[in-house]
Amino acid sequence: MAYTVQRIPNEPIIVLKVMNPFNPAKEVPEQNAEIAKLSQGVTPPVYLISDLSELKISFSDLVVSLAEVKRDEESAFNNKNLVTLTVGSNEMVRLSVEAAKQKQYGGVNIQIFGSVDEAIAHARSLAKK
Amino acid sequence: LEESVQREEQLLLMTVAGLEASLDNHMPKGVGRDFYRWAISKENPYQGEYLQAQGITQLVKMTCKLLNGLVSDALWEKLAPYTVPMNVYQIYEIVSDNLAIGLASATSFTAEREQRRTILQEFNRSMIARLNGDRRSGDQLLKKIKPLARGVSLFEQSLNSRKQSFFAHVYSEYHRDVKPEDLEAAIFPILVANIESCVDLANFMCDYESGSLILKGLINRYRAVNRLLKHQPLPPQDLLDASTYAILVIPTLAYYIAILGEVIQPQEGFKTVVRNNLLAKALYDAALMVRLLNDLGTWTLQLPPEQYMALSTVLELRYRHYSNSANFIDGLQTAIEDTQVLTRIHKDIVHGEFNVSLYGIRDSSFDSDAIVAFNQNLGYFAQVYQGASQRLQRSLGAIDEQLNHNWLSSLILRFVQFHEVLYSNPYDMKDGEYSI
Repeated sequence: MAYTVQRIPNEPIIVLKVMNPFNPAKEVPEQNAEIAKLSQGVTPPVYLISDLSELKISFSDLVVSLAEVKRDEESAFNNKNLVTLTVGSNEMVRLSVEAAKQKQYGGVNIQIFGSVDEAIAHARSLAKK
Repeated sequence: LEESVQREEQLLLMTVAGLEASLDNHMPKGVGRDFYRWAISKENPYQGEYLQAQGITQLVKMTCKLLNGLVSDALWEKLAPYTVPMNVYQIYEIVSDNLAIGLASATSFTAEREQRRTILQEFNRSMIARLNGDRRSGDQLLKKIKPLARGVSLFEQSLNSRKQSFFAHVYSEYHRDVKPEDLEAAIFPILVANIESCVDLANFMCDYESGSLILKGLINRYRAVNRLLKHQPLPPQDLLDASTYAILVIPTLAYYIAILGEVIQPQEGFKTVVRNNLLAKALYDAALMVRLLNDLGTWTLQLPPEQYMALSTVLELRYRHYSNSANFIDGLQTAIEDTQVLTRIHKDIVHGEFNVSLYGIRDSSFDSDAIVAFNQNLGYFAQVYQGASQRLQRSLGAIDEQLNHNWLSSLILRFVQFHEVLYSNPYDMKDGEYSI
């Protein structure tokens, strides 16, 4: 398992860190299930920080990942109670954020941050509003 | 594994010896013939590299993978020599096939491309005439394109022009009276040898039950290439037919199947599967699958339907991000350049070769319609591939029942699987260099 997922105690913030080796067909549904479990009982919205800064994702893995998040009802693209913030700077991260904006992927607007700390700070500021 | 390596080495030696004999018998005398004889011999200090660069090593590997283990050791020794005429013919084919590099676009024609198209069309017509019984030699039939052929660069008309140029320069160092330019222009003798070796092959098989299947497969190949070269719009089924016949899968497999089933180990029931068209149907679907693998690559064809939308989305986003070109094909080339999995399409764009997935949109300008059409093509051909795979399984099951054995279906499936593995690699890698 090349990912970790944990909730910041007493806050509606979940941090998912995805690393290599990455097996999207297997891991994306697992991640979604764990995120759904951690979100239980939390008053929405829940802020999901998706840390992809260390992930090197291939073209084919990106295609599989997108298909998985589209298919899975619990995924960040389909779960309206989740607000996703992404950390990372590579081209594949940018592409997945662009894809999420499209209607067929839920038209989700995902912000990109340079570090997890920045993303957490932003999530906290949103949670206070 | 050791036995397989030994057999590959055995087939390679036999193929080189067969090619040497064919150069003497089928190729007109001249600097070209002298060069090829030298290049495949031990006199060439880069013999191994030359055989790899010409696709000979991969061709032999494929033959070995196809046939090794299908027959007993004793029968292998009988079978091995029969691989030589087919492999020799296909070595010439690689060169004539490469003449079509750059001819896929219906609009971006230059005088040089038009000249090459004329040569290729005339070559195909001559081949068909010869296969249909014209007694004139290849040399005579191709006479009118001889001057034109001298204007074609053998180096440029290859997927590895630098390597081709290198071998010619090495030869010139050893043979001071020959200039590399003379060798660069020596395509005509290969075309002649291609015709003669093909006709020998067809004649050798003509008295066997499956001889007509081989002959028809060969004639269909050259007809189909000329049909595609016309650049007239084709309905989808006609496009699939022409593309399927344009590669040599049907005659190649029919030949090996005939050698096994009729020549070295005559099989009970074999003639029935030829006569009732079961074999022809199976060969067509195998050829269709290999064509699509060759054009779209294994990953694309094996993508589950639910992932096609994701592929379309990612392609479109990449396309829009990378491309500032007004031309669809240039933008697509940039967008798929480093994907690793769309390498076959990328190769055909770079080299201007025919590719079913680009049919009808190659000359489009960049707009959403062209992207949608391309994505739809990928999805459509993936469906066609799945359909062909299912039909092939059914045909092979019926053949197994008829023959009470699975040697024939194993051979066809091995052939398809070999290409599935081959075309999952980028074409410029050692394991992905050869294409039939």
